[in-house]
Amino acid sequence: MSGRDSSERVRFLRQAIADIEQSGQGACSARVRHVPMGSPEQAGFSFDRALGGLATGALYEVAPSRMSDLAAAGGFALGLAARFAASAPGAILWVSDEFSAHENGSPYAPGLARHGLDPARVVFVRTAGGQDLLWALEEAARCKGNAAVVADLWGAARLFDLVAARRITQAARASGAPTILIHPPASFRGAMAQNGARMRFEVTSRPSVLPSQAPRPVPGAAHWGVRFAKPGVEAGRLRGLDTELVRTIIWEHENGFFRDALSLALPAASGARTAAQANSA
Amino acid sequence: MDGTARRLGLAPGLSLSDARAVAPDLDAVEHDSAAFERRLAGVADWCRRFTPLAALDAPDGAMLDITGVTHLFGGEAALAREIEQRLARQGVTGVCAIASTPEAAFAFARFCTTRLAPPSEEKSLLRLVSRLPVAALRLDAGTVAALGRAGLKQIGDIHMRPRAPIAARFGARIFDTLDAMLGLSRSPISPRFESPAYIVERRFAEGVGAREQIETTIGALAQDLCGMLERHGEGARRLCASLFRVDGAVRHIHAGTSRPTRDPRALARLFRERLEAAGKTRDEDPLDIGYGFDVIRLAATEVENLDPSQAVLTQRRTATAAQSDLDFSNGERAEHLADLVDRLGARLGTRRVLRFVEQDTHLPEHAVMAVPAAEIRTRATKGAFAFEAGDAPDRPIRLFERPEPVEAIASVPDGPPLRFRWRRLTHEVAAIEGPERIAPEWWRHEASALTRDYFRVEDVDGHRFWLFREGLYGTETARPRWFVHGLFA
Amino acid sequence: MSAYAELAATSNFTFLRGASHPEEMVAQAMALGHTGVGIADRNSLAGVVRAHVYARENDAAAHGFRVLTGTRLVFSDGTPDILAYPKDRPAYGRLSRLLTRGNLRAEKGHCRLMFEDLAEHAEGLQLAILATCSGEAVAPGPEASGRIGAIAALAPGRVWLAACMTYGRRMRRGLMERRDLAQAHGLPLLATNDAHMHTAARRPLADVLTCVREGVTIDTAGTRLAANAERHLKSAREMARIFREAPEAIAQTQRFMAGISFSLDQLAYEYPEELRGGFSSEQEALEHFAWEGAAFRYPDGVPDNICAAIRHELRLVAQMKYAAYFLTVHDIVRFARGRGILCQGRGSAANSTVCFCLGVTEVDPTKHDLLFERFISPERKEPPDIDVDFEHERREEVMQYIYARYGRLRAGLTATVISYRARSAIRDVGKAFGFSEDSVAALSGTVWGWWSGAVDDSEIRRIGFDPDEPRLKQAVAIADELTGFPRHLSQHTGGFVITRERLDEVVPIANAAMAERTTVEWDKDDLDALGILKIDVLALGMLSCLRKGFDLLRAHYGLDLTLATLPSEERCVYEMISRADTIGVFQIESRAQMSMLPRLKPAKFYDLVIEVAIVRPGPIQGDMVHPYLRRRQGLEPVSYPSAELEGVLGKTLGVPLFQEQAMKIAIVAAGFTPSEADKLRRAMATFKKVGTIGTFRTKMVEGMAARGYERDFAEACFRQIEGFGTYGFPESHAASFALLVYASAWMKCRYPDVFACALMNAQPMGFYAPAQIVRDAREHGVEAREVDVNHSTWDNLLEPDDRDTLVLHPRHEPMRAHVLSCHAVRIGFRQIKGVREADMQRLVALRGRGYDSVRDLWLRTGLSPSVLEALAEADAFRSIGLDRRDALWAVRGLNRSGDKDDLPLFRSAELGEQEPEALLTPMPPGEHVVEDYRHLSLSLKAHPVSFLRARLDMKRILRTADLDRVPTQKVQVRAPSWTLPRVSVAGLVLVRQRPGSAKGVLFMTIEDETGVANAIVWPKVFEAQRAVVIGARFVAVTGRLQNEAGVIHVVAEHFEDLTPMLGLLSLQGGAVSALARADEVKRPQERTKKPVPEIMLRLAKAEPAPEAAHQAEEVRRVMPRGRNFQ
Repeated sequence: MSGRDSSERVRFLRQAIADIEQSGQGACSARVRHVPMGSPEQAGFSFDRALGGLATGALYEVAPSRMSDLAAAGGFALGLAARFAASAPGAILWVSDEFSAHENGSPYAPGLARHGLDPARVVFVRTAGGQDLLWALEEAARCKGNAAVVADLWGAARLFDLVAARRITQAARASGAPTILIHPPASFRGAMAQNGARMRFEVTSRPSVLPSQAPRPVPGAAHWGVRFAKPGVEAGRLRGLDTELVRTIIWEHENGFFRDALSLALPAASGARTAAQANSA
Repeated sequence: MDGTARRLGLAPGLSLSDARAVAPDLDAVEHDSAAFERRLAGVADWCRRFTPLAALDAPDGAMLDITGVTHLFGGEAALAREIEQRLARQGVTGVCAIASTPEAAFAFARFCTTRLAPPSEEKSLLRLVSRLPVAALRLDAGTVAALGRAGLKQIGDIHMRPRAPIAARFGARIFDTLDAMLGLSRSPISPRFESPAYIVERRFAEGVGAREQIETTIGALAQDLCGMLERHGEGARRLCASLFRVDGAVRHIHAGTSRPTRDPRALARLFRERLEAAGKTRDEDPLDIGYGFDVIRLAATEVENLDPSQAVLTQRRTATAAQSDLDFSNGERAEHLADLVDRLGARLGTRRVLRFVEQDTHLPEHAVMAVPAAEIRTRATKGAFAFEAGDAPDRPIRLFERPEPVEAIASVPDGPPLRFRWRRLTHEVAAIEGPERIAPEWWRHEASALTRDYFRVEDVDGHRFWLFREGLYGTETARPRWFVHGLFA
Repeated sequence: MSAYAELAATSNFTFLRGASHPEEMVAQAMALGHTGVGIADRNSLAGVVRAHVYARENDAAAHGFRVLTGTRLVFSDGTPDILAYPKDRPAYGRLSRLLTRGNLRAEKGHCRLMFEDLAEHAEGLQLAILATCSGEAVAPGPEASGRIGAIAALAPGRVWLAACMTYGRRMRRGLMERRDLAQAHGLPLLATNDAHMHTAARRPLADVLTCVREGVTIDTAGTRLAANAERHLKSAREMARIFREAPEAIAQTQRFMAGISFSLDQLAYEYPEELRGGFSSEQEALEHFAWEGAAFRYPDGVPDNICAAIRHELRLVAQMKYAAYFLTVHDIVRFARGRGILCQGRGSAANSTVCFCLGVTEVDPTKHDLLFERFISPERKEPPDIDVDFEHERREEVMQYIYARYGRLRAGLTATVISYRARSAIRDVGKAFGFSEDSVAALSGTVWGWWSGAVDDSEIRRIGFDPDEPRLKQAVAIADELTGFPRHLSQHTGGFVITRERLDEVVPIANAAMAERTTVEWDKDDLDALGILKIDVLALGMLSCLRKGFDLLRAHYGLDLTLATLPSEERCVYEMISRADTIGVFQIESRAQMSMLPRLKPAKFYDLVIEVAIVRPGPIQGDMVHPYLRRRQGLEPVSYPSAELEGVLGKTLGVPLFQEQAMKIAIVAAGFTPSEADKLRRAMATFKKVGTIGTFRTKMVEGMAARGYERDFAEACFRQIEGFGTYGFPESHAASFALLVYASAWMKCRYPDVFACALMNAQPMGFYAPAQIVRDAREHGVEAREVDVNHSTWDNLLEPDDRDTLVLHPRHEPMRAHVLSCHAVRIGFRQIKGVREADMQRLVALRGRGYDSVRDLWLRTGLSPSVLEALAEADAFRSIGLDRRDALWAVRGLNRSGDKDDLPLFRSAELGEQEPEALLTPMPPGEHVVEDYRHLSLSLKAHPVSFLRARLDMKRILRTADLDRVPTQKVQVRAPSWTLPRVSVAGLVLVRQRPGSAKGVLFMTIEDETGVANAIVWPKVFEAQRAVVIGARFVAVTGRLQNEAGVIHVVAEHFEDLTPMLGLLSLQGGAVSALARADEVKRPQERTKKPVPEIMLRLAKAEPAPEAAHQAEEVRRVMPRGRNFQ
């Protein structure tokens, strides 16, 4: 696609967002900014071309494509948070509940630092259960002091209904705090498909090394297969937003940018995805 | 120097090794001058229960202006006695002297057994002062020594001699102080008392312990205070409620307003919230009421003219002056965030709202400490959790609180895992880094601690794990066990 | 299995980083079957000699094992660390120069190297580039890896890329990167383990060292510590396993070693050339100077036996090729003598006839039977050892001469390795463990004495700790390991290395703590081991004192004496010594020595030699002192352990006292070879380093037992050697010292005025403070006069004394016929605290016919009022009629702005006139005395205790002078104590001494107005009254009076702290009578009674009630606290 196309699309996108905000019930006070996911210095990151950057004041959802990809989904979500945090002051508020922390591990600050997230900016809220989590999430989304809000929806996924989604969407819109939810696998189904989230991503772990390399190599930077999983109104309006395509991307933890993993052979990766789908099914 | 030390044969000026040679069982604690100053400041602060005009008189005392308050305590002698007794109950040996000038009080407290100095117009004061050593004139040690060598050891030696030669040799300040001591002139160096312009208080015979009673009292005090403010056309910007506990502790609760206020209900509400907040940050007895408070005082420490035309200006100033508990980079956001932290903490408990503080250790599970966000007043140093750039992350983003056992196939003694089974899934290892060997902290005596060999592992599907083998094969254990400790992104 | 050698072994000479001795590194590498080890300390060659010597002594070469000499170059400019090993001797020289350059660029103890420095010196070096960059300045960045190409280009074919696998965070990736890098630059990969310890067991110690280095505790050190214990020497098999992904790197260690032919043995030493003078060879020059000297020494013709001795010695010197060494010493001594600097040689070869002729020593070999062979043996391949002592104030001239003569490129000071002792080890370890300051102090306080090994459990319990507490146990164990570790290099006080060619090509040179001084990195043992010449140029206070004494004798008595021409063997001198009247005498003035003297009763020079050597750790530890004394006193027959030892022990009544004797016993009685004996001695000197002492002990004791010696005797001999190890005292040293003992005793005996004056002018030195020296002089009939602006000079000086009778303390009555002095000592300005010499010189220079007022002095000298105040405080204005108080008043009355322009003479004078009289009360005498002590540390007016005598009388406390009048039946040895009389004496505490060798017994010396008394405090009494014994400045002792062979002691039973009484001193207004009485006691036979100064008689008005506590504290601080010795 040509550069002209993409810039037009961005303009269109922005207009659309402005429209939505205008039509909001007056709760919209924060100015929406768009944060690119990739480095502005390099050739456009495919997601930026497709999405026109990440808007603040919106809800994002991330889910692993299978159980074992949960850490990858978390890593991707943190990448999003890091992008927001890089462009605005404030805290990265991470909400999780007891069960999730126990089951999936809790945020590990040294690892966050290496992942490109300043642990000094992280406030970690660890609720006793799902109810508290949703309450805390809403409070956090409403707060203007956060650069991003991240939540492990794990135990609260069941409670996260359309009402809750709407409340949080509105809260985020009002405060301008981008809010990112990490879902358990296979939760983008049914009625939830129509909640107010701006974008959904389905994440799969991808090898960072070539298969059967010898001698055994050392692991590299995070590689993920990511699929836009938001069919529906908005997506329909966006040309080229293929909800079936899985793009392999890399998180440049040192610079805090996403980038396309073009160098890696895709066949192996797509093969892995099929296997993953088989697993999660 | 207390009696015990003297009995042991210790004396000031002894070197520690000498002192230890004298009394080998001596426990020496380095003179913590900061702690001493804090304690002294605490005592001076405590003294404000008797009069708001109390000040620290460094290096070792406090000075109280008790003009007009002695009747509250049954006279000067009774007041002096009460101060000493109450101090004693706090474990402080204090000497209290009352005189008509600060200089005389200073001197009598330190250099004389007379505690109630006669009024300055009396001859007997001069007689008493004459017998004090010259050091009582607040002279430096060098001057005291020089005077001593001239045979001028007591104030009387100086007082009865011609002034000019002495002033020429030792400075005229001697006589300034002397005159001030005798009430003949005003002293140039007496301690400065600073007291808020608006101050109201209640005294109780018994300690007040109930939260409600404290709140009611503050409410009533706010009424009085606002009356005073109104009379002067001013409003409070900063307030301080001081709670004097029976046993000597003093609790100050500060509150600020965004604009000048003299609405008693608003002020009372402000303090009610603060009292509640105090209850939330400390989980036990939040106000630490103990034996109760017997003096409660409310003061407006900063006031502004409450003039409608200035309201706008005031508002603007508030925004910039806002300070917050959580010092993130942007002031306004920080305020919001502090509010959020308080709200979350209030409902969930402060121990559920956390920030990460780096701990300097090799042991992964100890390398970070989660601290209640409410307790961190400043931003952690940037660049904390330092690491060597350039590689893939060598620490996971998620860590299991309890490492989860896995079954792994690996070669001895320290080969990497080739395949492992975790949560019923088998992972074929495609990439590894390691072993990173972390030995137990030998100085900590955790009996069972074993050396760990950490491996960063990526399986064929691209899942990234942090595994470790516990125990060195052969030397520490015959059958090392394997665990997964964390997950990479 | 492939062969392996560790080329990055860091020893503990990389201070606070390496956790193993170089010897341990070598031993471990040999045990692991390595083919060699490369000792590469951080920018230093300090540890390699020890490794080299250890390998040599353990026949490493025979096992195919080599020690490589190298260093780890650490740069300040971001260049990665590099291991550098010289291939040959010239390359070694370049490496040494490279390090020298870095050293001289940095402050002491540091080395700043830049890449360019390496570039200039890289020829012939084999380099291995490490992955770390531990220099202080820059972190390794892309630039650092960029340097690799540059380094590779420096030394084509001689550069390796080192890789180490120490189980860090990126072990595999690191190796791969190194391999790729090596490939990219075409360099071979070299396996190392960057070993900082010889076994993993040293991890705790290594961690503690890190804590000490970083100034943190073990609990807070965190990631500054190593995460694991992997940086130790590992077996070749293990290394091969770890490097299985790069096996070629292991093989490269052998290739690396093969390229190196250099060994420290190639540092053949060459003596400087200029010594030869005009002669064709050193030997010829030496012979010339020797005979020339002989002719000078024996103007009436050289006796035959001397000729024979000289010829014999010269032959030996020629055989050993030591002529150049003797010439070096001779050259330095000749320079000193030319400048009139007194000097005296000592050391193994110093007391030879040749040295006597060369003027190196003044000990006349004909008078004293000291055989040359005993000191220089053909079996020992080391150069002879001659130390030369010089006057301490003028040694610098000698040192500068050496620098001037040989140049800084060829002369440098030897290093001294400052090692951890038990005390400092426990202190540092305790700190690292986070023990509180006082616990650390208490723990280190448990270690007394010179040599005590570890911290003792019972001592730990005594100070209130539980020795079984695990953390404490750990700390003590680590401290024990740390003991003996080098801590830093310091400059030897005066050891010089002199070379023919550039010194910095022999050994790296570094800056010393003092400006304009440079030291080499090796200490004397290292230099000895490599056969490099060193000469000790030492400073000795007593030589300054004696030279000043000779000058005074020349000036005031017209006597021109030297050490050599001093009347020798005068009986009265020995009599004085035998009475223990030895305050100020060299070496024998300590309490321990003084108590020995009356029992030893030295009567000839050799007795002094023994006396000097006997009160030393060696003989004491070996329990040799008492047997010798008993034999000497005839209480025990002289016998020899065996006939073969009669020759060895003949002169010392069958008891080994000297270091040489102990060594000889090892050879004669235990079958050691001479070089083994020497090894034993060295092992002792660097005790507990390698753990070989046990084998020596077994060898010695078993060897002696096998030859029929008693096991007890053998054990005692070994203990004695242990004692010598840390503080050896050979006979030749003792002989040289004995000469100074005799000389100083002679001067004290004959001319006490000269001696006291010279001794005070040579302060600080010796055991006693000026107060005791003056007091002793006065007791020997010397008048001491107050310091005075119109009479004194900077130095103390002699003034004619017109008294015609000698006034002696009764104790010294026997000397009446022998004392020849006739001068008074005028105290000099140097005794006043806080005045500068230049100011006082100015005062003296401008004095003219004298100053007549304070103002006169001020205006003429322009000295600042604060200087005048110091003079007034010292009571130095008496000659112009002002006592201390009046003078101070006058000084304070001067305009104190110091700006003379704003003070026209007349105006200030006018003001002075108009000032009303202040009517000051006179200062009471007691206060004068206190002030004297405060500003002069002594008082001529009265002894402080004299003012308190009336009170002491009430307490029935005796004067010390009365002690020998207490009737005691002549006490037998070991009389039961209850038969002894019980007395009390009181005095100021002068000295407390608790020798490590005396099993906890403390000796205390106290002084009152009549003299000194000595108390013996047994540990039980000490513990019971610790506070008083240690804390009191003025004390009363009650106990049994013991008089053994004229040595009077009070065996203390009880102490009373009288210190608070001193507070009364400054209030003693009416105590003039006490003063008069004190004077009486002091000068009982004074003919013309000097009037008590008028000022003192002016009775003070009764001063108001005292604030006694304040005063006591004040005075307590002024009075000497007593000096503590171990």
